[in-house]
Amino acid sequence: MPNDIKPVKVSDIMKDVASSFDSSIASNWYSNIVGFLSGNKSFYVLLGLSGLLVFAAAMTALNAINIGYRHAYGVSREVPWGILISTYIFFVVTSTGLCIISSIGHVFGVKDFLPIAKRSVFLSVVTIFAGFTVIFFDIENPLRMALYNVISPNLTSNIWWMGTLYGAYMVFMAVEFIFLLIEKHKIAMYAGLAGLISGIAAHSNLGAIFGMLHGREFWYGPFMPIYFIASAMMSGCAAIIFFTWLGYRVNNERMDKPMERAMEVVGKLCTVMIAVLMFFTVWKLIIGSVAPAKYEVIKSMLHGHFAVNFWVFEVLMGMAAPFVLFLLSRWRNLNMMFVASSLMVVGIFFMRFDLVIAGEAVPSYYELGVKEYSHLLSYSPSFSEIMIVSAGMGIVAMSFLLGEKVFKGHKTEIH
Amino acid sequence: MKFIVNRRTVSLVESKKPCDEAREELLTPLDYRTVKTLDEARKKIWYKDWIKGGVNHREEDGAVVCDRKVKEKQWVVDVDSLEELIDFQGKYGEIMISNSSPYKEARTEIRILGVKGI
Repeated sequence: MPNDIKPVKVSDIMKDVASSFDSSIASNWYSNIVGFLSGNKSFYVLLGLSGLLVFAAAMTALNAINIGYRHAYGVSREVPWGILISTYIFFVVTSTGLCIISSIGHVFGVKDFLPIAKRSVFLSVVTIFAGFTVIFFDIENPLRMALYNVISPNLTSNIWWMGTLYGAYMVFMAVEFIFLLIEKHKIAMYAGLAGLISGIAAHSNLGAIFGMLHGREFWYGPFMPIYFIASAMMSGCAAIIFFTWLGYRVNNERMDKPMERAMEVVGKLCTVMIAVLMFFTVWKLIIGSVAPAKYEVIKSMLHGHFAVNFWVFEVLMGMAAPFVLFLLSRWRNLNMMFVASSLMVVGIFFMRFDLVIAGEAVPSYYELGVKEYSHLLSYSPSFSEIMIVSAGMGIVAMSFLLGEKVFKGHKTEIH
Repeated sequence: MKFIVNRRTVSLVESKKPCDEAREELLTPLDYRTVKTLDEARKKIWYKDWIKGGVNHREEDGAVVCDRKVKEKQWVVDVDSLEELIDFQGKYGEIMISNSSPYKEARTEIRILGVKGI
């Protein structure tokens, strides 16, 4: 009967479309990912894939050594630091952040941070190793560098201090992890404290490498060391939430209350650090707009070559969206916090890329009005560089998966 | 009733009593996994370790669980009435009661937040 047919409302159609989108794409995608990570045999597939990625990247890196970096990489005399340097920074920033956050529990004994500490220490060793691997292939002769670092140190060089302090940092963190495993907490604590001190010294010094370069106006100034430490804490929080969530999925463990509380406090700290970074970013833009060479870079970030990187990745994915998601989650909805931290990991990668590349985009002769250098310099990563970056990611993924299996969820025994 | 007891911060260099009444006991941790049945658990990569590391494997509260063989030392107190709890709070100041990591013998913890009785 025609009278029985109800008129179709636009709002109903929209609702159906929305729900079908939600169930058919978003939730399927989510459940597939969760299913893949949920302790099934697919774990070995992921492990194999990350191993394969590392192998393929290692072959590409060896080929780059063979043919010469100047042919294999997209860097030039004018833009000498490329994606390998920015990825190195991405990894060491994450590592330092993980160290700082884990030390709140494992060095200073704050109970709420203890459940996340062991996994964080492990990941800080893994990420610094990934960072060293990436920079290994950026240096023309890394083995000679290691030798001369010891026999002919240049104490006035920031880069000498960086290599030395990060080397010490990696050793201290590895020692801390080993002593945590054998439950010698006293020695682990002292190693952790030494790791924290060397990590903060190394990382603020890394900021100073940029901050002390007179020739690059975008970086120059005392802002960088402070920015690097604040940024490390934000990255560390994001990495802890990201990997803890994944770890619990891999092991199918039920998260107990102390771990939920740990995630809550790390989430809150993360939100505060995002706010701090937003504050830094706003002032970087305002102050930069009155310095001629800085202004060119700022313009390119706001509406030029770096605009997509800046607005989409750095601002939206790296800070704004996670900030809102953390507030909405009330630091209890772990799935929402995981999404926020995933966005942050991607956003922060681009944040580092922008920091390094945008800083070199203004030619040294720009303010002198030299005709050949009147425009911003450009840089695009080559295939070899992208593969080496993938190797770093592969090392972290493989080590994380192996770590979850071998160390059985990184349980902390301190009471 | 047995409560795990601790403070806001812990000493990492020695096992320090969180309060006068606390005594150290070996407790049996419960290892929960978020799969519904033991059959489902069999397909997981952690299954062998889980079987080897525990006893009394069972299905409980929509998950599978076992008692871990390796026990853990924890500081515990016995509080059997509301009056005892209020006396405890009076002696140590602000306290927080929450769920602890799950043990066979105790599932609740008292955290002493105040500075009284240090």
